[in-house]
Amino acid sequence: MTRVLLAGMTPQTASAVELMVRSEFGAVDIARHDRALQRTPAALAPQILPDDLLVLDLMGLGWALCTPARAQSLGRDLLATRPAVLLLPPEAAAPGGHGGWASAVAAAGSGSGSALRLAVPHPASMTSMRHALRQLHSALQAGAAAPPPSAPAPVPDTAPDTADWADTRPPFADTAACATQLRPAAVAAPSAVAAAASRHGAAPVPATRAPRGAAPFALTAEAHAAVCAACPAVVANPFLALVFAVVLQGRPQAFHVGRQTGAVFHPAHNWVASNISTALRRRLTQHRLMLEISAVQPLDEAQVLDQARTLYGRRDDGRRALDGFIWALVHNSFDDAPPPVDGALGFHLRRLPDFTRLPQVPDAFLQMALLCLRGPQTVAALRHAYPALHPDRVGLFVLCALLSGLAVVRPMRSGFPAAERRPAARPVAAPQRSVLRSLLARLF
Amino acid sequence: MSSPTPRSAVHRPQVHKIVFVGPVGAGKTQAIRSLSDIEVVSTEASASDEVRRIKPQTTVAMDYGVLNLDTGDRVRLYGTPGQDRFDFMWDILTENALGLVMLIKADAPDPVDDLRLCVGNFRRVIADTALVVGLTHGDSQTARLLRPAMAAELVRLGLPPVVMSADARLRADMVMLVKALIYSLDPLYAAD
Repeated sequence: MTRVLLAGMTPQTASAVELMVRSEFGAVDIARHDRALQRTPAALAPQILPDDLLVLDLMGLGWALCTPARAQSLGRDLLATRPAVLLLPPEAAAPGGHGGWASAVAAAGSGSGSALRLAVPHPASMTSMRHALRQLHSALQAGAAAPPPSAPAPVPDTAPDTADWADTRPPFADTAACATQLRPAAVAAPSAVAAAASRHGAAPVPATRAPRGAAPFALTAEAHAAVCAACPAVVANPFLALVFAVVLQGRPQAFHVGRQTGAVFHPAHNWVASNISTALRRRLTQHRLMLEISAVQPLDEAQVLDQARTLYGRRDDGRRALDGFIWALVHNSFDDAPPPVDGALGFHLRRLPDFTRLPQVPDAFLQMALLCLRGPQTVAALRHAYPALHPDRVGLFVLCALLSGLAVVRPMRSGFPAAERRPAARPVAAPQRSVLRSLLARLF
Repeated sequence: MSSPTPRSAVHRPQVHKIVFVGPVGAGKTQAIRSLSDIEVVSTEASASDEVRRIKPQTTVAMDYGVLNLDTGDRVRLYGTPGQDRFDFMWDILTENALGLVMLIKADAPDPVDDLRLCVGNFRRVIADTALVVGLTHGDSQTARLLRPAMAAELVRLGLPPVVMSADARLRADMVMLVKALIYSLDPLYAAD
């Protein structure tokens, strides 16, 4: 198998499936034939290469109902001996199970020798599609015989994510879809996956083993969800949503904005190589359309460092700490108008950010960080400790600390006065405070 | 915060001190040069031992610089010699210090061990004042890998994990370390 061909899906669904394919199969060529009236099976057949792996939405090809002629055409003209994932029409489309296709595919599969076929019924979920792709990939690698195609692919998680990502509407006429050959590094729309990832809680993939001394990026999906619950503005920001969908997966991925600009993320080793300027970053956080020209590409462990070097072409490879990058990103995103954060959110700062390597460090952030290193806090308690600061700026500090993974979420009783006039390391006498004030005034 | 404290009629200029400590070659002399208002007084001599492999000259008694405050107060900046045989200077220099800025060479064979040894040498002073650690001579990769280990070691030693990357030649980095030292003494400074 050298190529994966996606056909019959809406552009949005195809983009989501494309990213799943890249995630499961790595750097493979992908050919897309998105849903369109003129995209008939007969027109599609010449586009299929002998060793393609197919992902076909039968309804999108105009085959909502199964007839003997269509079943024969599917087996002869499209599938042949190719491995495939077939999206079956909805159950209600016709009697006989998924438009009659379930039994027809099973019958065709029984005589297809070693062909690997998996059927995923509409309405399909992200989980079921990902599972089917993974199962197919494993089977191809192992050279094992396919599971019986008569049964829809077993889905480990039947949670209520019968997703809206897979379009079950009939084919439509006004799609200006055209076949596109996409190289692995080509642009794909990540918005669908980012949105889907946020809907699905972005379950983290187990991280690869980090080299000795390299602590992985510490933000967890649970902490991210807690922050989003306390501050919905985090979810509403499209670029932040995309970045967190990427880093929470734990595996190396590249994010491109055009040909020369982007970032390579390696959460397992807590680094990022980015040549995204602050100005571009602001535009990305403020304009959802900017994300339409961007793409996310999973990387193999072997290629991730080369990607960082070749894409960013500096004397070194441009790698820096991911936690610091995220801190700066969150700060930049909300610095102009910090969003409100629920005061009951509890947290504990575990490590100090590398403030000398961050672009903007308000004095108040340094102060709060040094206080928060001493023990668990709540947003409300911290606001109480720094009454001269605007409450939303205190909230912004907590967002930076938690989303960068330097702090962990701590369940605390609402209003717990953790930071209430906590004494300093030693009592600060009035004369000494005067000296400190003068020293700060002199230095800054 | 930037407004100067009004001088009272009875204000008598006082002298305070911040001490820069750390192993040989960590950048203590350069750090004081970056901050001082005066030409740094340095007691450097040609290195005669294994230090010569690191640098040709080394501090044998102390480095000395001054920050003049607009209240008339002065903050003396002292750099201690890194070699153990000058440890008699450490107690003298750290007496009544506001706190310690500890510089650790990131490219040393075992920076965490250097940190451990240095904290042990100045434990008494640290217990009474405050400590910030600057990780010098390291690129972004070294700092990324080393900072978590240094922070963990500080926690293990019962100290706040206040460790940052630093370039002793950059005044901004040294200012950040001194700020962190001051706020460590009083995190609620300017809270009101």
